[in-house]
Amino acid sequence: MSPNLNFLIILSLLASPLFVQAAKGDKASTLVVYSARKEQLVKDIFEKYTQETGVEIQLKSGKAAALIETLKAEGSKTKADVLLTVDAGNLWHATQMDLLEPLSSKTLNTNVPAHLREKNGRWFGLSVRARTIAYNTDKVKPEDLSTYEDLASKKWEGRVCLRTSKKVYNQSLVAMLIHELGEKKAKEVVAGWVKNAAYIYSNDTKVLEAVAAGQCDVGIVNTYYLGRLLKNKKLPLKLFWPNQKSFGVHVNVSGAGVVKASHHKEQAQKFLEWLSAQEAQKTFAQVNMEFPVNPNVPQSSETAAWGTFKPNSSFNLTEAGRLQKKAVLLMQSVNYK
Amino acid sequence: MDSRLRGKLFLAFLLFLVAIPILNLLGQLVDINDPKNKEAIEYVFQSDILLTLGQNTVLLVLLTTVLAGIIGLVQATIVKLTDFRWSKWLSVGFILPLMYPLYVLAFIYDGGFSYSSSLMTFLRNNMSEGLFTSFNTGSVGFVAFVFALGLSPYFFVFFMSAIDQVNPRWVFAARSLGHTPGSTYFRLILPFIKPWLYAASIFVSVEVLSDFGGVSVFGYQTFTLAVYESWLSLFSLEIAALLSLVPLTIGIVMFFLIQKAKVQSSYSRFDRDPIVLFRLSSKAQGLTFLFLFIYFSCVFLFPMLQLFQWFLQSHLSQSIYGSLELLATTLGLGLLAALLLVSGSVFLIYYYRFHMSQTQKKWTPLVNIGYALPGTIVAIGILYATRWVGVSVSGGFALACLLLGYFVRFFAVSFQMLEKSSQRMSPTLDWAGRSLGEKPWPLFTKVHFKLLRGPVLAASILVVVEVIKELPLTLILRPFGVNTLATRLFQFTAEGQWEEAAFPAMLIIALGALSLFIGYLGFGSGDESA
Repeated sequence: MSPNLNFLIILSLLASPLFVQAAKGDKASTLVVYSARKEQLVKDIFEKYTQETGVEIQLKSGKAAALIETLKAEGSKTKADVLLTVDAGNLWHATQMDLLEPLSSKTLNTNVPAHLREKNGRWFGLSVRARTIAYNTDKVKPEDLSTYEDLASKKWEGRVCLRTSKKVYNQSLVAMLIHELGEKKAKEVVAGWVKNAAYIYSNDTKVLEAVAAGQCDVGIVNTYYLGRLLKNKKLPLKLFWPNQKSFGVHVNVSGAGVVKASHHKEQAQKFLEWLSAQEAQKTFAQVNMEFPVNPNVPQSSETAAWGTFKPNSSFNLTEAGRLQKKAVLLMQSVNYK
Repeated sequence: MDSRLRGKLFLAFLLFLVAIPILNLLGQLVDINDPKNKEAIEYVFQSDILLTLGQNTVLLVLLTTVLAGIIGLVQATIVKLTDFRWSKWLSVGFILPLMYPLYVLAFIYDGGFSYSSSLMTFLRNNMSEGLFTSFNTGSVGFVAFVFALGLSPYFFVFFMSAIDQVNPRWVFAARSLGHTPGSTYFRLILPFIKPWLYAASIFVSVEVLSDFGGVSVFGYQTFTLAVYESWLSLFSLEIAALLSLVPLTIGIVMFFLIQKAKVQSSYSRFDRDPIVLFRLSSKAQGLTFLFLFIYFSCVFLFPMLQLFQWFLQSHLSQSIYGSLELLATTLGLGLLAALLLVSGSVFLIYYYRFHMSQTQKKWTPLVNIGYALPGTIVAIGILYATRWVGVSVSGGFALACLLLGYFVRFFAVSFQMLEKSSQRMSPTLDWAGRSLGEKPWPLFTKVHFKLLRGPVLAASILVVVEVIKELPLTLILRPFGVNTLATRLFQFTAEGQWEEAAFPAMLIIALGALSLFIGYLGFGSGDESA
């Protein structure tokens, strides 16, 4: 053996721990996700990502406001790579504080329809939930229902159950109405709902239970609450898709963006791309009975049973954030609790 | 360093900690030209939010106080002024509702009386459909009723103590002068117990004003709830801080009123026979039984059955396993807080006893002020303060903030318990030790601390239980991913998942009962004071 070869062998033997270390380093690379979603809804899918790519996901769960406030305070020192939260209103706040990085990803732009992402690519929807009308099948025929606006008419007096205006889901819904109908008309509609309300509940599950029990005939809820409720109980409840001849059903997203101060932006972008692709989309939406954001991914059998509908795709969800404060003040002005 | 100076510095340090959230909230007024503050001021004053919150809060405080006062008065009258046979047992039974944190009682009643609940469905089908269709669990009357059930023991305890001070001879004299039992009651007893009525009303008002969990379950808008929601939904710490000023000011005023209302709240339960002003006829006995039946159904039978029904409907293993896991985290947090607060209290007692001047002693009660402030307000004050530090509220720093919050809120719990026991140690003990040449610290550790061991244990347990029950502070300041039984319960009730909330609630109630046992039955402190 030539001395050169010996030298090489010795050198490679000496260096081998470094290679092992380097390989380990790759495998041990982690992404830190600040998540406002319930842990059990994302845990499995994150584990799957780790299995496939070796990238570990470190999850920090909290309320959206707390996470955003933290990102702001941590500034460039943050360890966060991805912010994941529900409702476009929350994501809008994060962009307002300049916490999210604009991405130009062909994959994300193809997988996520334009109205479900921020126009500069600072956040992308990952699952869709519709805020629609649920009705008691014993008391209401679907042909009695038509639009969100119609629920303000006299025939629904004392027959509507609402969730509190304090919930961001309703704030985004009213923001959409302001955008579609103008402030004056939106105010009339919301005032009509309040006038017709038999009761205002603190959550969607209670609204659905009240509709099923006959306290009211219809309620406005997020679709997955019905899915969850009907898993355990048999109740006379169905969903109706309003405004099919006008702007369509109000949809919102759970979505994510890459943190501006992240040190692993490329990896974080890949993670979002993975989440928007076929395989992940199926699970991500299914686990909470939501709709996949990627139009090429089929719905789960449970959500498909609710029927097809026209979503409001002309309303870019960024607007939901921009109009949120106006929506809050509007609801206050008509005494919507 | 001179011990007196050390004592002074230690007291100053504790007062500084307590002042952090208060001064930070007040301090925002200084920077009124900051655009964010301007926007917040505009929002608060343009809408009628202050008026609505003010009305709601005042109405709830008044109604709860009146209802709880009536219940407490009836109870104390039965126990102390009648010949009712089981009054000794009742004197324990009537304070038991204190084992429920208000939010637990609130969610049981809100869920149990919601339109779709089994109870309401039964009532609608079998009794008046009209009455039970329009029933509103979020109405001020219902909220006040539930709060009054939970808070009536305050009145009961104070009235018991008041009636204890009534000299039986006065009653005898009144009766000899021809006054009927009724007129003696209204013209002698009731005017006499007024100061206690006043003191108990302050305590109950403080509890109602501080409540966050209960009103949030009912969706009843008061200041504490509005503060939390402004932060969470409007993303505005400025609006939250601005709204906080109202409950903060009221809390401070209430604190000084409590300091002023120096009435005794201890009473003898077992030693003294009641003044038998009313001999109950069989009809009156029947009415008393009816009252007791309704009362105990409301505070025990219904809540326990309802919780048990939900518990059976929950995913049992998941619920039990999840809660026990949380219990471990919660206990860890509680123990950490207890270690901090109780050692702080022991040092303060030492300095108070041996090294403080009269002026410093006068300042000492101020460390207890946080107990009169709502947890939500303390938390927002601390969040506001972290802006000065410029460090994110996460990880270890969040934990430190949370512990500071517990310190502000619950230092009074441990300090007052130890102070009470310390006061019972005669000053001659100190003089004797000192005259034997013992220095203060060794004397304190060898003699006083040994005598304080029981109370130290009791105070630690009380702090742990307070931390376990605490909701808004933990909810706002907890490090990411850290959940306690109370925060998990809050998440479940916010989504209407009563079944899953049942087991954590049962654990919290059990711990509440333990705390009651220690606090009221005098374990470790050797007295029966409330």
